[in-house]
Amino acid sequence: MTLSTNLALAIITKTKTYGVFSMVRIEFLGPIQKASIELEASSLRDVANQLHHDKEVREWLETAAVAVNDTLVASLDTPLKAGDKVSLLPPVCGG
Amino acid sequence: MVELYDGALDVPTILQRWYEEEAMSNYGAYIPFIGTVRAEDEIDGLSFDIYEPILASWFDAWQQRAKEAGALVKMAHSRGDVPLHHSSYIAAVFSPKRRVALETIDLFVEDFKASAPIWKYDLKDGERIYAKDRSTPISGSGLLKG
Repeated sequence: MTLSTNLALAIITKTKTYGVFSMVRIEFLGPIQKASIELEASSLRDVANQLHHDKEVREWLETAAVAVNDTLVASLDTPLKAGDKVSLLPPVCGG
Repeated sequence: MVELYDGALDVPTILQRWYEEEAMSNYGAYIPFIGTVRAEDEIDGLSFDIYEPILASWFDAWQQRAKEAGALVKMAHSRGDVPLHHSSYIAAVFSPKRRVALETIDLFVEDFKASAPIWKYDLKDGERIYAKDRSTPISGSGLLKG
């Protein structure tokens, strides 16, 4: 195998295993008093892993729903691409 | 379309306008629900944050569900501060017959409380305090808890 073939295989393997990391924006709604941040992630699982290290946000992860580009999602495997918006929605009480 | 207003709702004006909008639509029933801020726990009023994009898609899904039952849903809500004894929420259902309207208003208001992306705060002694104990996690919450 040539060097370039090896490199291509390495890239494919990495992509398959870890996905492509892209810059996404995380938005905290309602009572989560925190400005939006940007993270590199390939899926919601990467977002979860990084938010666990954020003391301000960690307490909300248990009860917050999650939307990607304003649609509620139910899987940590939800893929993310550059420019996606991930929103955390804490417990609600309208009316 | 959800109607959002800064501050308290002008209930008589909204109810009358909705009545007139549908007066010739041949609905036999018009059932409104009005939510009013009560004096309790020494609060001075309530305050609300709303995330409009998801509220709009939630309401559109409900409008489709109501349409399949031959009904129409209308809703108005306040943004920001609402003093005691003023109203922050109106929902209404129009339908040809009363039974569909009565059942739909019940289901709609319950789902609103559980799912609409609106956050409530008590106004007390100049502070705005999140009504955490009265809030409900949206279905599917906790996804990121790991």
